[in-house]
Amino acid sequence: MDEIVWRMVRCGAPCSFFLTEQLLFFFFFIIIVAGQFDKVCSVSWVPGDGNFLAVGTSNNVVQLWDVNEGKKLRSMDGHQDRVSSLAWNKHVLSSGSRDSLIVNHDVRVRDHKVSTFKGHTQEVCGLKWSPDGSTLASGANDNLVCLWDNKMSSGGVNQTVAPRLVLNEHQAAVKALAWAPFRRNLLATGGGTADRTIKFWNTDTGSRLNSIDTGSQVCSLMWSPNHKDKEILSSHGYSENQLCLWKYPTMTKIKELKGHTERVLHLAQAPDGVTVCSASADETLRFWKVFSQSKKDKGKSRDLLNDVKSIR
Amino acid sequence: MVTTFPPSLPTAVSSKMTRWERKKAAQAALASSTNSKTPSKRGLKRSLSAMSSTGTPQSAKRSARKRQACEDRFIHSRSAMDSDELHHHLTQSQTANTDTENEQSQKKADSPNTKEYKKTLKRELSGGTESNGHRVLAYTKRTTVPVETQRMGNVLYSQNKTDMGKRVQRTTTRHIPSQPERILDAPDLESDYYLNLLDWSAQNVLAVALGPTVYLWNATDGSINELCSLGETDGKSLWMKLFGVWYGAVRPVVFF
Repeated sequence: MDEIVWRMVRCGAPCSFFLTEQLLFFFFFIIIVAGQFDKVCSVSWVPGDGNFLAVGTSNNVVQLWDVNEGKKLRSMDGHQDRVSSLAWNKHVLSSGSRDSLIVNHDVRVRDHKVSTFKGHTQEVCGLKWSPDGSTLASGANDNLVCLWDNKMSSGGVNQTVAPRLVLNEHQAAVKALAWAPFRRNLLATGGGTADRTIKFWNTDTGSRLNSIDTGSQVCSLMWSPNHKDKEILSSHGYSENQLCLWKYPTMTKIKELKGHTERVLHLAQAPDGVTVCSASADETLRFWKVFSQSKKDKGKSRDLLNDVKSIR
Repeated sequence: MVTTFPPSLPTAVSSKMTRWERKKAAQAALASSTNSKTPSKRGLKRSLSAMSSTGTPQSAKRSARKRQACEDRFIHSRSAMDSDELHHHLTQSQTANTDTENEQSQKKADSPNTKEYKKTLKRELSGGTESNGHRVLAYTKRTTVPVETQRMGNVLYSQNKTDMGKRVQRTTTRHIPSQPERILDAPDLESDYYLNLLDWSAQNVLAVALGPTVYLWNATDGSINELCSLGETDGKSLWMKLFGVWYGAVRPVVFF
């Protein structure tokens, strides 16, 4: 660093004008270089296992990491822009990108690109496989929600597939997607700032079942893992920056959780089924005990809690 | 074939005959007429079916008894109809035809909330009976659902365990703490709506992406690990970029 400064001084030493100009260039340079840093744009665990993590980056690549070993297993290309959403379906990893494509990678094979889903026109920001693995739901900045059949993608080598259904009732980008655990064909979607609604769909027919205006940007949606409850948690942006818990068929508000000072961008569910982690633009993670405990998991999660207490 | 034909059958259809008898007679007549000239397959089939029906007199009797319940005379029952509602539906259909285009477009533009409101209003006004399809004449007494069971909240008592009202009560009594259990710092978390930077694994490890780095927070023991940093792994390309930007910025000044 000293050398660079010294060189600059030497170069523009006769005139103070040159020195200041070079300093200015130096600051620009730093700003530009800072913008060149690659960033992580999406993370997704392999379901059920917990040893492997898929990482989507801003240099158009999807990386697969072994967490226990701490090393990169493989790096998969196929996109022309940053990879902003990831979803697993057994051994197939679907990645959505700003180039508006969704690419399915078979992570076991050398030629990893199985098929390409083409239907969006802008950045794909929401991506979720249905629990039975038959349908992929994708939301994008072009205000569309597309539903794709798994059967169509598994046929041949690197084919382009069109969506089975296009749901076009949202008025803003759709990032929040959640498949209901208690009914096979029920999907909940949430729209951005201009839309502010949560909509429920029958994914077999594409008909809308319900729509409610939440009053603020819907950033994330999550169903209660407890089937009997039929509750859905939503995270919101300006102006309350809250989390809302709703009862499903009636959509009555059970609880509002406030605390974040900026929009709550992401939600993640703990394996115990009770705790939910929310990540906000105010640069904090908050852990909430939101959902009820199902009778099956009660004993298990208690043990987990005891472990924590004994260590602390 | 012709032997199945009852010889005592009168040629003129009497009003006392039931429908199934008349039908059979017509079938038999058809069969005989076709058989006498060219025995076609169709005629054969029909006559066969006629034979089988005469072969089992018990079943024929039973079917006759069934048919008696709904005769072919359509007499509507006044007690099952609501004359006021009827009048409303009849006049409504007339006015709907003469509706202006404006009003119709307004109807289409109704939001689901107002639609739902109109529906419930209609139900309330009509006394709890939802009329589907607007049938004008009623022939049988309709079984009406008691109003109490339609409104789930107002059930007085019910023996059903999985009752809707009870379940709502149970969930609302559950305590949900309104304060977070724990708060962690996440510096450099991108404020970008389009990214997905958070995921929790089945092994109870939370992965968070902060800028170029992925951190793993183990929820069982609270330890934090750094999984990867993109700046470090792509070191070569970063230096190339650095050099490129530096050269581009400095060149005009140096050669000035």
